[in-house]
Amino acid sequence: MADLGLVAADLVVGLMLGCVFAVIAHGLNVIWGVTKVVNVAHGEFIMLGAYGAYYLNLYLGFNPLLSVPVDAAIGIGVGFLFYFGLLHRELRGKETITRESEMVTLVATFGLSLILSNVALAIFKGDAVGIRWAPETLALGPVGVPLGGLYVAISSVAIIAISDLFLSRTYLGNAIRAYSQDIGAAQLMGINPTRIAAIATAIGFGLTMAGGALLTVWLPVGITPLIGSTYAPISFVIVVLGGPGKMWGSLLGGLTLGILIDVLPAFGISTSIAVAVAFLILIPVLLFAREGILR
Amino acid sequence: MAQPVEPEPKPTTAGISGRTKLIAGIVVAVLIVGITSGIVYVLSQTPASAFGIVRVGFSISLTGQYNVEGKNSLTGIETAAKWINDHGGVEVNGKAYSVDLDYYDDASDPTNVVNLYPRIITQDNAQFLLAPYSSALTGAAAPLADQYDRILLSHGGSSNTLWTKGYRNLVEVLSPATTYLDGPLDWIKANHPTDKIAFLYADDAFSIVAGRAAVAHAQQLGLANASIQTYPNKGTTDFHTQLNAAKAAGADDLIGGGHFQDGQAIVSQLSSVNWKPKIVSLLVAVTEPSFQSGLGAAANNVTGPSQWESAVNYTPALAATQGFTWFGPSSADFTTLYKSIHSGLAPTYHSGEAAASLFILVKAIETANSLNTTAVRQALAQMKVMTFFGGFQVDSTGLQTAHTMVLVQWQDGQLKVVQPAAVAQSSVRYPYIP
Repeated sequence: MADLGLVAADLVVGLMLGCVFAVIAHGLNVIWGVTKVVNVAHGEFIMLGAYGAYYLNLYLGFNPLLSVPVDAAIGIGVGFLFYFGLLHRELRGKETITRESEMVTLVATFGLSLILSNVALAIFKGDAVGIRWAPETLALGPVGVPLGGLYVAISSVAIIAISDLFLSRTYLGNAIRAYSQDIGAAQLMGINPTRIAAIATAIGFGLTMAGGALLTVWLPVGITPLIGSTYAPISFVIVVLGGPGKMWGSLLGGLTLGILIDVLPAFGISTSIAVAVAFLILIPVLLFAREGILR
Repeated sequence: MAQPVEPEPKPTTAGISGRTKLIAGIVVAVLIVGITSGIVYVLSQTPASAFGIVRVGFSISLTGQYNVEGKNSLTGIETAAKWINDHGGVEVNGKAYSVDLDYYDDASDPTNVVNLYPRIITQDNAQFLLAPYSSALTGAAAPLADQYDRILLSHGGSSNTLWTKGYRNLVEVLSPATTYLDGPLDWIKANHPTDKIAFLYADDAFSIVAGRAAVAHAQQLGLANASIQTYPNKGTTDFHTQLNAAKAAGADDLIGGGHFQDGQAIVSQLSSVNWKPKIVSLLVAVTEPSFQSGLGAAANNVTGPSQWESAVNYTPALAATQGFTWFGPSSADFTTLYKSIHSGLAPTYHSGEAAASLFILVKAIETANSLNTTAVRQALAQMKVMTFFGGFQVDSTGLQTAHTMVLVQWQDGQLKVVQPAAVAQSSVRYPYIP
């Protein structure tokens, strides 16, 4: 029988880890859901967001939470460049995103991923860096709650809530949703598809790099040029679990993974098996709920 | 009314069209590239020894997971090569050869190792090999050394299992993995025998051998195990769950780790779970200066095993009393030379063990008085040599039997040797208070 105190402690950590997973996957969710582009370079942009927060801390003394809006703004700029540099030529003038376009963008972003990770290795030299910030722990009875993780969890939920409100309550958000559902019909309603796809991509990149900044709170050390290879697969699983384009799907997918990975070991299951189980969830979802768990 | 005039055809330039010029340009470019490549290839095929060179090839992790350990290993090897070349090189049959290093970054990836070593041997003509850093990468290189009949000296791969697979050319310079965590356990047994120990170690080839040996050693000593956990070596960055479990099991001490990044992450997350073990002793990571600079106060009082520290003074006199032949510089001379060519940075144990591998190789070549692989391997099997790094003697499989380890602890920003008492700079601080 598992120790209840340990289960509670692991549940708290799992919830916070789930929120970290959610926020780093959220940008991928937006881009995939709206433009139907599977950004294979997603992990590298998480890495760049983390390095952005690190250098803002190193040179300007920013704590990682203050770096989030700065990273997001940089990410939006990068997103526009990414769209017009890589995606526009393939997506422009199309009323539906064909399988051929998906393959072209997949390969293009894969190439970008290789370029970014190798350039980062050349520049950052592979040294593990991190930001020492907010290491205090809040004692809630027998359970210790790391404040850094709590801040990330709150920020993560706030970011997802704001993006949901933006998409459902604003004209631009509704235009993005319309584009994601039917490009041809959206055009008939006077929506400029290029503008909308570029904005959605930019928002997705802003969210991704903001997620990278928040990751540095959860990981006070261990930011390396290769960190994207750890978090990109997790992000893909989360988006598939929650359903591409479903804002709260990021949180649902993230929490599912985080809780499974952190709570199963309390029942005597090794960490390696817990991670495998979390990824195995993907198979029934793909078989029985291809649009994700959320309806 | 003027008649329309047909435009005259434009004259061609000396009868050569643009298309012909383009083709001629391409042919010339291809010829230049081909001839240049041929010259480079022929030069690269020239036997190295024709120029009085002993070429020593290896891959090393300058990027990726093991970049910290790899870079320090490389600087150690470079220092050793400089010392050897400054002191007359390698003498074989009365002729002096200089050591020429030939290396590539393997990015901490065994698939790169598998591609690089054949290239180092067949294209670069390396006569002898040093292993890459880590047991996993050394394991990838070892069969290639046998396949191409080259000596492979291991300076960063210490998993005992490497020497159970029958590789004839793999020779270990450092202490084997099974002895890494004996130091902290022996100290706990002697000073706090009622402490309960949490074992937490990575599942890679080296860490799992070191971790399992530590568990067995603790059982032999009669120490109580609070918990035994492993974690995936690749990609694990979150240790909250494992630390929570160790804390909940009532552990007093934390023993284990794996390599640099996970070791640093474990210590950084102790505060998140509000746990202060009395002894924290982790593999590999602790000896690196960047462990302390990255963690700050959290690194204080963390202990770890070390293959070598510059403060540990092996001398020719000690070698003589223990029946070893001395070879190479003293610890102080090695440290001074290392600092002089590496911007004042002090060598770490990864620098020391990697440098020692080159000294041992050179001593073996000179003992064999030959550049032949079989002769040098026989010399390695029979040598009993001491360098600044400590003793060297191997058993019939190539496993190291003479080298011993020390225990180090970060104390107020300084890395101090704390065990064994005979060479200690300071006593062990207990309990761990960051």
